[in-house]
Amino acid sequence: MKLSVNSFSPLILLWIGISFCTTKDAIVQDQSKVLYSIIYLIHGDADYMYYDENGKSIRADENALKEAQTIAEKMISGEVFIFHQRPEKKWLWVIPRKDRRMWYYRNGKLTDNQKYSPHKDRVTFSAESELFRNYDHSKKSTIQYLFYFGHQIPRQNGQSYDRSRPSVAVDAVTVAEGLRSFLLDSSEKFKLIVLSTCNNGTPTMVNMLRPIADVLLASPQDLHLSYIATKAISLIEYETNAKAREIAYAMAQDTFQRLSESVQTEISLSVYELGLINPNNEQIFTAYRSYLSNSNPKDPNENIDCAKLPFFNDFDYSTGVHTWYRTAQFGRRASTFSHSGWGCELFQNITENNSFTSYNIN
Amino acid sequence: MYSVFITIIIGIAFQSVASAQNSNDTQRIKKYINSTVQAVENEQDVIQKRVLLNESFDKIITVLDKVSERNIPENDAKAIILLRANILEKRNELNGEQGFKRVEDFNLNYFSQYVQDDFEQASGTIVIGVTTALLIALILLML
Repeated sequence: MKLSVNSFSPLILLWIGISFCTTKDAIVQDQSKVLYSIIYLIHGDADYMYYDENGKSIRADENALKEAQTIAEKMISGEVFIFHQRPEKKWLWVIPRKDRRMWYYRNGKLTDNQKYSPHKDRVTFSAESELFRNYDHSKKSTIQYLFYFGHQIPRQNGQSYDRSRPSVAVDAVTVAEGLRSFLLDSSEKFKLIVLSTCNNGTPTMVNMLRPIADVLLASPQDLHLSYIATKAISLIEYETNAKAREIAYAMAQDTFQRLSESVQTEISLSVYELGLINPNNEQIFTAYRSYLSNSNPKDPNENIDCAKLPFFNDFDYSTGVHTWYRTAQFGRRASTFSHSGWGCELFQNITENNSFTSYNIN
Repeated sequence: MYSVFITIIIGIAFQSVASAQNSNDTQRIKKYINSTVQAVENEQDVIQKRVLLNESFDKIITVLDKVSERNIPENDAKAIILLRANILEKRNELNGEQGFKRVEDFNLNYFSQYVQDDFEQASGTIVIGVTTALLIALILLML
């Protein structure tokens, strides 16, 4: 399935109804029970400033934090963890200052918040997952949603991702391992993972995350710093059987609408039903690996639509992928009107006149 | 005792300044681009809008060229090449050069916003070191 921007399921129609007009109270659950866990991981250890259409400067991570806190107060049937990964400083280069912050909401109420430091030289998110596991482990729900906000997670060579800890690598492998560490049991999966980052809707990332999630919402190409809107997660308060796919569709629709009104650059969002991709489309992962190993990348800072690469088979690779796409209003891509939903790394060469040339394909 | 106290204070101050520096410098570049966007939107005359954009692109390209002449780290040099190519492409599009269709007069406000949106997105993936970012910010101020 692709490019069906306007396909509305009953759940999305319900979400639109809730968004625009209702004052209906959510179903009140037993306050002692936790039906689901939501984890917000908000990276703030880099430059996240942007200007909105009115010229006002905004810090994307602070904005995402505020939105997460507002949503957390409405999630009365579950628990919400919010981690803000601010730059880590040290007193006299030795003593950690605990600049990172965590907020814990249970049944819509803020019940705890604390400062913490990242673990030195350990798995990405190990400090966060340790804090997560410390809260009422025995009462945890097995239904988990995880939302990550940050810059593009590099496929490899992820040094300098944390600007205050440039020697620590953060890449697709360490992030996938880090996300896995939030699962309480090896047989569990996240219902939904959202990667609110540029260029991470790739065969590499999908392959990394398919063992640990049912559905992934990510951007195969550019995503403006104003990020993916996650307020549609509150659908699970109204419809306990809400499917992760439809929650992801509602989030993508919200985000697409908002970005269409505010940015001039390309908008690309894809929902991957990882269970559907898994059995049928194994070959995209091997084909992409082969492409990567033969292409001798120089500066993989930008993605292109995988459909432009010779290994791509549109018929085989579209199952389980649903895409929202709007072309950039200017630039070389302004004439591109469709997207496969898969992003592949563009291997740029710089010519003598410093113009971009085509990518290498062997 | 007094000297130990002073050392501690200086140490704390230096630590904070060093880690904040890179972020502040890239933010200065964003601020410069935003000031161009604002100026273009406030300008009524379309010829002047185009002049403002061209001057802004030329200024950034000049800054990047001056920084490239210095002895900067290899990774920064690569990042500068990417940034320069990005800005050059925008200038080409504005003026309808190198195969681009010239940006229409009525689209100049949107085009300036596009330049800003694109740079804000690129700043997440193009990483420039502390010293080089400071150099860019300083030369930008001086020109």
